[in-house]
Amino acid sequence: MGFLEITRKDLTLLVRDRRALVVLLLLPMAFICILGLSTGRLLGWRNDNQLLKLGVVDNCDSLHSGLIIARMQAIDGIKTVRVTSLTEADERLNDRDITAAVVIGEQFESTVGILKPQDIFDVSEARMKISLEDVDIQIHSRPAAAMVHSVVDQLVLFCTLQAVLPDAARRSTMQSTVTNLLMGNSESETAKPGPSDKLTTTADAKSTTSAKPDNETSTTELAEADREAEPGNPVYQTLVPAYTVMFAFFLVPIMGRSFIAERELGTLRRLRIAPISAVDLVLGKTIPFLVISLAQSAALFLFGRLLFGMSWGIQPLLLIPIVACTSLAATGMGLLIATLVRTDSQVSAYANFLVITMAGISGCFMPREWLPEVMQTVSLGTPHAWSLIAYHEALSTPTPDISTIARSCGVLSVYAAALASLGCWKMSGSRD
Amino acid sequence: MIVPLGTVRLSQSIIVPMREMVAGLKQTTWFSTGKSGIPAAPDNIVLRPLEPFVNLLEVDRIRKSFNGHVAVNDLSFEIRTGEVLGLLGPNGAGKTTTMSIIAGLLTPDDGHLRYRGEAVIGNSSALKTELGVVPQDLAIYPDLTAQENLTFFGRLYGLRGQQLDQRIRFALDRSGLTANAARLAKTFSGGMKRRLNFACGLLHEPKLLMLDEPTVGVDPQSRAYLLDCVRQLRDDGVTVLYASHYMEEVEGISDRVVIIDHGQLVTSGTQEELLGKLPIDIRLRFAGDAPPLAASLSTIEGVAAVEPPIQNSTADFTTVIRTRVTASDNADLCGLLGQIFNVATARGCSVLSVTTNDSNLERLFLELTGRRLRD
Repeated sequence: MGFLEITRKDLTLLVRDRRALVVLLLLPMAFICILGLSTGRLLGWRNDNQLLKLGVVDNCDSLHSGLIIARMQAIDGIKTVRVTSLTEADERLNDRDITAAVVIGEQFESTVGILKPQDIFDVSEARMKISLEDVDIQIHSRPAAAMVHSVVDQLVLFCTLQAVLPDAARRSTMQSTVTNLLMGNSESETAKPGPSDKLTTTADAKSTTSAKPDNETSTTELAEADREAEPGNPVYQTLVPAYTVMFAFFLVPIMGRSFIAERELGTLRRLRIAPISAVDLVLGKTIPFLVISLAQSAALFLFGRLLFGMSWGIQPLLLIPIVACTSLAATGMGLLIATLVRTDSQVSAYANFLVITMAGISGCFMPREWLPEVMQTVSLGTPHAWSLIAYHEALSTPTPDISTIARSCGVLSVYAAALASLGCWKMSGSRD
Repeated sequence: MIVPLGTVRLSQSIIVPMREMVAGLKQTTWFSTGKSGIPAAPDNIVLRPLEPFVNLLEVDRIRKSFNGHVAVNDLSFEIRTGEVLGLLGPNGAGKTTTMSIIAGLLTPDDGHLRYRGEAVIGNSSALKTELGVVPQDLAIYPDLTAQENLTFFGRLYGLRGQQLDQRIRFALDRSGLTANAARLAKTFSGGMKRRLNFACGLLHEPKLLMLDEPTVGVDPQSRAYLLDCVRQLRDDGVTVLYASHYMEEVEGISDRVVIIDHGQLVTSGTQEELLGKLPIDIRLRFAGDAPPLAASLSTIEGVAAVEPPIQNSTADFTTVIRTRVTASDNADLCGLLGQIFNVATARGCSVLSVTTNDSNLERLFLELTGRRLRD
């Protein structure tokens, strides 16, 4: 059990190394803050001039009306505010405090509660059969803002359909056909998407999920999930996991330096002379960094939630395997690099270059969907990309696809095992 | 050393004790031979010798090369239980490679290591448990306290609880660091770091302690203290392999010495045995009619040089006889000196003094390994 002693010793040394702690904990937070500030989203603040601010008068206050409001809030660029009455809404419209008002009437729930898909869509002519007025929803805007009125009308209709369709579909034997038609999904399109295909918008993901014919989730559960799923600040939903991944791999140079220090201090020879196995030595030198990496990720997600208002997704527990597998991959890479580099300069030159380059091409610096398709494919060669894919699935989709997360975690585990094995092999051949 | 003899004729009865006197010079060392207050092992700390003079470790024809360069070549020697074995050799002689092989850090290309009669290469756990190493360079954690360093290394060797606490107290006491146990090692002076380095190596009661130049860069006080510690360890029954460049240190503490060069064994044995192989320079001063004596002495085989006579007020002069003598050559030396004295008597000269060079390990080392600079 020599590895426990080495682990304890290295954790003590790491805690005493304030510079390393700054790099691992404070630097990523600083990065997130700076980028949050540069995008105008620091601490939840956003530039209202760039938003469509909708006043919502919910006279129905039902399950489906709540769903509509939640879905509107989830759309980037829309801000909803509750307004108590139509009079207040008109006043705020006149004061230009809101862009438009959405009035959900008292008859809304009773109207949508009996709808069937065939009441909503004319399948034979492929057109909508109902409008917002038919379900007792009205859009109020200033007379001169006709364009805005049309846009809001379409958005609210879209959100309404998303909210009421699952229940309507259940009432109909046409569920499968209609929902596929509505969402524009052919059978082939509903096949399991690849990793890059998963990078859809939140709304798209929700639509796809809702339309799954074999989806066993009941409408009530979905509705509850939608209510529980806080949309979070979309900037931080991307920034926090991106920088968590990037800085998880900043362990690589720190691990490299730890091994170099051990070698330069001569203590590595002493450890190898001691009656402990090579496995003990490797584990003992790796586990502290795994612990630090896990703590780092946990801290960043905690800070992300407390300071930046990010959401941990519909199933926060899904973050645990992702964090664990990412940390394993990072420490595996750290072990390999630690056995390859011989000097501090080599750490600076190779490890930092490798870590920053991999972060760049994998999508840590910008959303992956912004990357060209070829780069998205190339980036799958990095553990970072798989981690980002898993985080995106867990954090930004209302019903995360477990298989996508499992596949990403599996790939990360393979990376960890392969990198650590190479590191062990290199270490066993080392003279010192 | 000058032995005033006046006009006394030297006989064989004088010459033989002279050889013993020359060999005895090794005992004149610069450092303290006192115990400097080094604490002995407490009764409950077991530092007992194994069976004395049994080969604890046998190095049998080991060979190791790096990229075609042979660092150790067919090297064999043994370390006996309870002894201090001095390992001498110039830079690049293969000392550190040899110690690394013994410590299990390197695998020899050929040859065997036997610890207590059992082969240990490839399965050195028995040796590792009983081996303590004090490396040439410091091998301690500067950001841990002395106590934390010792605790860590002690735990690596399986020490726990009271036994660990007891061993740490003993190691701190023996290395003179008890008062500084709670200080970070990076705040220590060079000598204190060396002593902590030393303490880490002996914490787990090793049966075999390897010290690779442990006194490099320390002040005379710390050096004397460390050497006294080694002597105390030997008295406690610990077997010690001591590699050093400092001949006085090795002379002062070693029971036997192994000299290696170019990865090969040059010689080994007790200091008496080795110094017995050292050539002895004997310088004789005569008084009398110098030029004829000088001419006569020059013709005697075994006389290395005859210096030009130095005239002075008493008309004496000096001549030098230099001859290589080994233990078995006592008769030759006596015969040679007798011949010289006969010539001197015949020429009416008298012997003023007999002078010998110091006979020590450093001379032996230089004789055997040469004076050429090593890289």
